[in-house]
Amino acid sequence: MADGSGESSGPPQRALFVQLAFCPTPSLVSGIARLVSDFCRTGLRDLDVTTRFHMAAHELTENIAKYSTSSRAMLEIELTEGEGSRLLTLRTRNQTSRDRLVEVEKRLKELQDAVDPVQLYDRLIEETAPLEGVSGLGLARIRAEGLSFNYQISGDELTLIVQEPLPPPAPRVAEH
Amino acid sequence: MLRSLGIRTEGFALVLADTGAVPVVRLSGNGDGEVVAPLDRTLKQLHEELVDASVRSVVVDLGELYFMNSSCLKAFVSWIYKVRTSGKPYQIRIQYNPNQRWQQRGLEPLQRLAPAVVFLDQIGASKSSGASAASGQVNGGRNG
Repeated sequence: MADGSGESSGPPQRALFVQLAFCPTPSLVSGIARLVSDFCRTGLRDLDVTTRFHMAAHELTENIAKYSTSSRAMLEIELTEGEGSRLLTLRTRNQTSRDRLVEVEKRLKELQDAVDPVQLYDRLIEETAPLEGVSGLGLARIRAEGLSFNYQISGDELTLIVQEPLPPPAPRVAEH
Repeated sequence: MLRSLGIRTEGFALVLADTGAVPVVRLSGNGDGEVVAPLDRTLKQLHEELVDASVRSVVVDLGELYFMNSSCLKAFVSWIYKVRTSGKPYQIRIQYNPNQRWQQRGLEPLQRLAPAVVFLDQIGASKSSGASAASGQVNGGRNG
């Protein structure tokens, strides 16, 4: 199993999650992204994080709708709390073709190795600008917006993991 | 004089709001995968008409645009590239809504692609005080 996940060891306490199995189709993409942003809004009340995860969910789900080779895919959004920290994780899983796996792994490694993800995103924009019918910017956009990107490949199954460490919630003021 | 052009779908619209010396193109709704092809086509057509009309600048109003995916951004990239490399470049002044947090982050790379062509202008307080523009929501509107 190829694994660029780097997911940390030790079980943090699960605070909040939604897991969704869905049929990969373009008509569901916006609704699924909306579900993710609703989750973030409810759990975090942080508009910057919410908008970045909405974007990430949209890009990942759209890729799944384009490239999935089976009729079932999975998305999970999870907010975990450890000792004095929180972690927001978006995880998608789908089956895809061997060619696509090779292509996406190459791209993901490049994104993981990038010292400056914004510079990489700018370079990809410059390179694709004259090309017709080619985007290929979605994964780089997620990374350029400051989200960490990991992946696992097992057989024909691709798991993508987007994470954002968050500060602990502000302590509540006691009411008397 | 620019011809009328535009896109109207259930969750997205692009309209030519002003056809004067500085044309205004207004986008609203949700720029998702279903919009990519018509957006790409319309921006190509718009570019040809702007060049034919010898305009100096065009305003793109994103005040009511709730989201744009990377494929729609790529349609803008293609347009900006055409302007940058054409013999008759013009300014693209993109008005972004500060309450839509994704917009500035998403648009800055377009400006870096062509700093002499793309200008980002924050929509003023009076404009952004409208109900949906001020909501800050990422999923406003039916498909947002």
